[in-house]
Amino acid sequence: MPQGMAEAPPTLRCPQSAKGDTITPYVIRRVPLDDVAFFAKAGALPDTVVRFAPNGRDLAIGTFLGRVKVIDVYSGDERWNQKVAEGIVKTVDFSPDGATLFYGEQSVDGFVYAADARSGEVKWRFRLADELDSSPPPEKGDPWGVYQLPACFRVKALQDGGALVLGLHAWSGDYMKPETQTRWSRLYRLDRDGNVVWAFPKDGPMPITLIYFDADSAARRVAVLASDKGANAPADCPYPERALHVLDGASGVPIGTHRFVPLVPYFETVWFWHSVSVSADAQYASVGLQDGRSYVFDLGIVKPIREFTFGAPVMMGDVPVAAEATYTRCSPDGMVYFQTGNSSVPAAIRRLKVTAPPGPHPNANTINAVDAEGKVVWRYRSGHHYQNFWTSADGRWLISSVEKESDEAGRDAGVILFDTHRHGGGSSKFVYYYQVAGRCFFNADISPDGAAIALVEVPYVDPQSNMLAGTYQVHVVR
Amino acid sequence: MARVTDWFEPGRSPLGRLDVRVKLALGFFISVQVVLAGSPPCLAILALMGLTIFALAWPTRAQLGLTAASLGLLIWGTVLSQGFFYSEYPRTVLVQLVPSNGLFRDGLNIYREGLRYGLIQSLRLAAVMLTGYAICFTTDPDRFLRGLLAMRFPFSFAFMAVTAIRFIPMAAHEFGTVRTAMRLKGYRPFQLGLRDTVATEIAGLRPVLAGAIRRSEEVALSIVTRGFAFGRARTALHEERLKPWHWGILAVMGGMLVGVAACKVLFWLYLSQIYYTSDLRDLYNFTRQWL
Repeated sequence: MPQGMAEAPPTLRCPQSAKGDTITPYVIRRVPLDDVAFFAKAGALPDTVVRFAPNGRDLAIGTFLGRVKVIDVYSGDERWNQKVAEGIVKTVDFSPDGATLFYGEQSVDGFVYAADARSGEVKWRFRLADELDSSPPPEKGDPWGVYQLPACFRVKALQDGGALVLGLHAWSGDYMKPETQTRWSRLYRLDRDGNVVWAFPKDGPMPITLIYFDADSAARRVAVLASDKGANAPADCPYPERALHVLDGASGVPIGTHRFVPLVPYFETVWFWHSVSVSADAQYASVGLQDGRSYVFDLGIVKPIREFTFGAPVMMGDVPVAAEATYTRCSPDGMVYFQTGNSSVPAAIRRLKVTAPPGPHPNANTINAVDAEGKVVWRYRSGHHYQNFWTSADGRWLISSVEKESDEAGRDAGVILFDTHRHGGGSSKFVYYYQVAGRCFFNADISPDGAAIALVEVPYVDPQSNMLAGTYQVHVVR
Repeated sequence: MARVTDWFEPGRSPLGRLDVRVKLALGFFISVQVVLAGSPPCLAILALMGLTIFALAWPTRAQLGLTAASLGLLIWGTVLSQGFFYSEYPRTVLVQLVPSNGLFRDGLNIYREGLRYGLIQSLRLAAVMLTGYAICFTTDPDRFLRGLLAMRFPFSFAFMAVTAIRFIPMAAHEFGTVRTAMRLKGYRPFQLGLRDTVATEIAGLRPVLAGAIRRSEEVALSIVTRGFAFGRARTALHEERLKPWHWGILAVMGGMLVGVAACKVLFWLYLSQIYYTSDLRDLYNFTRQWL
């Protein structure tokens, strides 16, 4: 029993928990966050990030209102609490030794900070707007304007004390039409003092959205996804869009690029989200696409060695139905997890006035666990939309932040937990589902020892009552 | 029984003992701050300051009644008008008075968010109203004149202003008499239609106006026959002197005013992309959230 934790019930999950045991979610604590009612009323989910420290006790929380703090989840003690003025905290990560907390913001400056994890004292900061340009700050009461500012979309702490930092700035134009927006993005490797070791592209930011990246903790290989070109991209832009770039982590030199071809005639483009994950040995990367295709890449040759069509379109009468597959995770134990979302009609077909699928995609809302040989070893479906995966350090415990909406039951959101070391299929590995009153942001975390889960609940406007439902808080659950 | 017009009792309350220039500065401070302020917490603080100033005037029961009635009307009017005409989103219909039609695309509705917005905005007006009433209740025209002169206000303007203020209660009393007479003659507003009502109301102002002109002639004649002239050197029985703690209040108010104005200017420069520095982000955030 961790120090600071109250007397626990006999149904508490523990390392010895096995199939057949009665396990119920145990709420260690709920951490209330700021008031985001104004933003929730606008129909948006406030960006919120959580990350456990390597010690499994300290949890870093970054909020939409710029609050960044570290708490001890068992005692409830707040180690420190700071405010990033005029910005959103977009990403947080602890260094492997737990001594440094990196956090990145979306603001006029787009700073990335390295702070002492125990005191919060900022050791250094790196300004992305120097290269990615800046935008006008949002007017008072404008909940959307902040998204036009330069941002650190991801920071990943590395074993050497440095970090990989993804900077992106997309502004002006219509955000629904990427080709109308001005875009600059660049990936940096910073050393432990905040100096740039290398940057990709080498010569300056590219006018294409680098939307997400992943790397092993030693940064031997870095895989980064490039989506659409911006309005500022020249006709002879040397960088391909809708591509996976694989870089040598030591030098930043590109090893290879793979361009994804749209799945015509159903899709005219290829789109990603948090859709790439690199294996712990830096040999492979998994990638998921919005058209329902999923891949495993060999990072040495930068070629897909396996392709899965989990959510790819299937014909229902004359209407193709797809399920996007934009989240994936390479687990430390060698498994690869892919998901599929809700059934939908591809965008190219929607223009023909067919908007709703005539029936569900056979693989919609499903988790697929794939082993090293590319075999689907277990599946699970509960009707939820699985939003990303997080695993314990040994890969045993797997969580996903989930959501579901139905006409009868309304909105249903929470976190779903699996013990992947149990024998059997997905239902055997399923441990519990912890539900919240509001919605769940697509960011959660599980401590390296697997003991604690952090889940972000955000309020939303219930369409039935027109009132705000849920609370802006972090649930820490065992 | 005390009347509302019996309000000049300067020495009775803490505010009444305050130098008139400090009181005028208070009024100026509140009125400028409510223009600069925008956030609900800041407006609430200003309304609370107005309420405190009003309480320091130790108002009589009649004054309390007048203030409460005025404040009620002000809040009711602001809240209701904002409830009807609130145009921001999201907005929630509480009551639909007229369904959607050619004139009103969304119908005529009362919006919940509009009522809330109106309530917040009425804080702005309430702060000024409470402060204004407090100053009026505790400042007699003579002290007001001395204060203006001490502030080196031109004597001719100060004298005219103060003389006019002195006659406000009399004009109000006269207006009340006229309305009583109209009622006795059977007049009821809107009984004979809008046009007739407007015409009668305008006609009712004529005797008040005639009385004001007649009185001003009498006053002018009176002061001229007493050898009064604007240009001559004057002596005063009571000299207005600011005490050190008066200076303290003025310094605090001036500092706050300059501080808030500086925050607003810097924030505007930031929003307009004219001047920005990362070091001031906390100040920008403070201004956005609290001012």
